[in-house]
Amino acid sequence: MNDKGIAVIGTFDAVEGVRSAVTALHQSGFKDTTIYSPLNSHEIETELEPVESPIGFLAFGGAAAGAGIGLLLTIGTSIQWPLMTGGQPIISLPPFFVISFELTILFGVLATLLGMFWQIHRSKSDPKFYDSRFSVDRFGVHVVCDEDRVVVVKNLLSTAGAEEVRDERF
Amino acid sequence: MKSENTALATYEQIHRDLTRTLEPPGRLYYGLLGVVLVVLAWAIFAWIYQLKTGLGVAGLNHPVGWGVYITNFVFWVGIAHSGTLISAVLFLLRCRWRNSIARSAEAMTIFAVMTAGLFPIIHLGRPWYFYQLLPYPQEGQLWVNFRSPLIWDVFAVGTYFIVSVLFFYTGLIPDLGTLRDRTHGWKRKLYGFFACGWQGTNKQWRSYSKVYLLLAGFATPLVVSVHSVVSWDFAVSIMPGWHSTIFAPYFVAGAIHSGLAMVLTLLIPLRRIFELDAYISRRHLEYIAKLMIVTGLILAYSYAAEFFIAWYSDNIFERYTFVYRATGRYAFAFWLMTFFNVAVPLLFFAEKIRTSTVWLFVISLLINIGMWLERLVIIVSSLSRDFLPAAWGSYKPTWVEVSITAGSFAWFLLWFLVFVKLLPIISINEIKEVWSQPGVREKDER
Repeated sequence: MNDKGIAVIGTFDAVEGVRSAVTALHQSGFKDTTIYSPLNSHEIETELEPVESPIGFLAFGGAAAGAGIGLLLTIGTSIQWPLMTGGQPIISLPPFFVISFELTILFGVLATLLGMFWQIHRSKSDPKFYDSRFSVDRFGVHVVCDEDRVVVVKNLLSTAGAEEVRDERF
Repeated sequence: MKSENTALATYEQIHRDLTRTLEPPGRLYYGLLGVVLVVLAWAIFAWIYQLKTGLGVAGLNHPVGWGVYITNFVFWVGIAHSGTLISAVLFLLRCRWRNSIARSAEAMTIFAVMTAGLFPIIHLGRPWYFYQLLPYPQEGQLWVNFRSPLIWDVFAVGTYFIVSVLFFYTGLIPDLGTLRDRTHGWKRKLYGFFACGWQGTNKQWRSYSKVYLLLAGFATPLVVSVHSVVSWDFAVSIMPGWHSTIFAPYFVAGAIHSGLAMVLTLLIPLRRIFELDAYISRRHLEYIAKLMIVTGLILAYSYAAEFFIAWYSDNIFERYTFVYRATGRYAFAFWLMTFFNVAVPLLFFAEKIRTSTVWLFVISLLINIGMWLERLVIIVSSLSRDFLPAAWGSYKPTWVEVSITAGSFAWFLLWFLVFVKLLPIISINEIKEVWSQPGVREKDER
């Protein structure tokens, strides 16, 4: 057998069931859980332990890089091609700050989005655990466990109100 | 839509209601599309005529070198502002009522920027050289002048367009995942590609929330900066009536005012055609009307402040410009703009008017007209009467400019019609979030 483990997936029709299931699973020592939800539920989020995300740092890094590129582009090219206009100094910081500000925002946004795509890709689960109803009107709880604990997990999910419980080898 | 028994019925029903707009179009849609395409075709003909004959076919001449084209540019950039205001600013302020209208407003932003971006190009004598506005190494050794506000425009409007598209797209990702799961064939492939593997896992939602918050944080100062930069196209010159420090906040307030009016103009027919009254309720429209009272009053203050400063400065050129605005050749436009932008929104103080969709629709149209006239008045009245009486002149748009202006509305509506049939006009996941308590629909929250 090449199987790495077993995943038990419970399908719920309401968020309350998911909360109960997650609480029961955590109390029983099952930490490796993934929740599927058709909406951004803060109730579910409060049940789960916070995860550190690098997106904030990426956003800051992108914005800082944008500011630097903006100043470098304007100051650098003005020094290289010194053309006086309107009697203003070659390095006219106030107008250059406008360009720098716009690039700060642009690069900050681009870096944030790159971070999001990376995170979405990284946190995608195996398609065989996913049910297309999870994006419309059902919630899912997916638990990875050892073969000898499958029955325990199934019981916990059923007790919490799961309408369907299935297991998949992966 | 009325089912309130279980979470299943509610979520499924929300999904069905909000994807109803994606069903094959009917006669009304094709009729509208036909009108839009005819107007657009006429505008393209007018533009080709201008390209072949030269910019002289427009009414632009000394001293009025900026006319309807630049009026349209400023007007459409202004329209673009409300999308980000509603979506980003109201999101940061935790106003959950925005959820019903944010998607349409964001789409409106993108299409308005796409429309605005055409006008500086149309206005160019040789539009095929428009790319020379971008800083890129080239054999001709031309380089952009970063001290020019026109180059600031390129960076500001360009950034605004890219950020608006990305903000709109980010908000769409969960809905694209939903559409992928409920469609087949090429649609499934298309939605699936853009959904980027969205499964709605808790980690994905967490990243999404954080990113959306950050994007809203980036978009908010951006939206203020973009119309400030557009206002500096005027304010950094020494032209009487333009050289004013109040221009940036005045333009931002005006942009929000016109953008909110356009949101009403678009949403009122949409909610009626697609029977979305439960999702875009009178209360939503009323909130927009209340916001417009505020923006209308800010504009009233700005108009008054401009006149006061012109008088108080004791500068004869500045004084004359404002006397001319109110009594000269373009006085009709000035008084119409003042009436439509300042007096008419005050009608929203009456609850009966701000809760009536007919009144809201009519007033929104009047404000749109008023805001377009405001830009015309600012541009044309100042240019036609500058420092030297010997150089004074006047301006009248020609059929080419009128046709291209009508075409800009057709172009904007064409994209909106495509959007309505391709993507949900209300965010499905955000509506589920607000309605996440089945049977309990908090009136104020919605």
